[in-house]
Amino acid sequence: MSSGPSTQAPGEARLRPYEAMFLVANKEARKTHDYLEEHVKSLLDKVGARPSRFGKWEQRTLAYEIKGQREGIFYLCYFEVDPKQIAALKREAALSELVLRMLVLALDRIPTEDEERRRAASVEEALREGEEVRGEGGFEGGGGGGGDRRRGRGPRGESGGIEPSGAGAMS
Amino acid sequence: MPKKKSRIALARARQRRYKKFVDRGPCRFTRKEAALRKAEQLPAGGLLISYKDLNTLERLCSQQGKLFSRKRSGNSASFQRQLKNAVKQARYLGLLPFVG
Repeated sequence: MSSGPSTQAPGEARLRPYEAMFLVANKEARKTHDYLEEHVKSLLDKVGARPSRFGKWEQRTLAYEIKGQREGIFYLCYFEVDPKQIAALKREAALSELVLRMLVLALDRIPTEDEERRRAASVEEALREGEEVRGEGGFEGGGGGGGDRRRGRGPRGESGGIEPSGAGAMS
Repeated sequence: MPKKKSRIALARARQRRYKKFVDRGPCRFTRKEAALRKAEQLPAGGLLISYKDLNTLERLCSQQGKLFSRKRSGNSASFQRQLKNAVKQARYLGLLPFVG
């Protein structure tokens, strides 16, 4: 693939749409929120990305500590860039002290805000409708920490632990 | 001493026990996708589950943060795969725990 002759005209890079989520340390953010935003934007500028949408997604407590940080601000960005520059973007993010994590996903096309909202609502609805139809409450207890793995000392097949018997007590 | 059940009998008993988890028709996301397609509101790539749908991911994970099995959640293979990828991406970003 890489050894084949390029069909691209020289000097004209084909751009591809991407979605990137930046997790930025919150410790510094308290003082310089705008600075962080500028910092993330500068990373994209360095690799020649053309952002079409950029904004703060959420500020939340992390599920686990990352580089000593328990909280972080998430910035979501949709942009177009030459695919060859993604490696450079990852390198820049890794070198940055403020960016804790970065996730880049290639897209077919950049969704509009409305499309994204409708998609999220559809997924949410599907989940809710599924629970109504099934009506088993099987998602409430978390499976008692074992899912469908066999538990207990009974003979094989007799002790299938799929019912979250102790799940109510746990929560 | 009680008579030992044959393997077939045990398998049938297991089947009966899992029946309520298994015989539930198509997956909820597949159903939703079909409904959207019928209403001509389905996006070009189909219904996609993202790592940003945290509420959905949390509801389909155990308290330990492990994704429920297909047998339990009733998801189709393709949506279970999407969920798997979404959970892994969310874990990487610190949105979901690796261990509960």
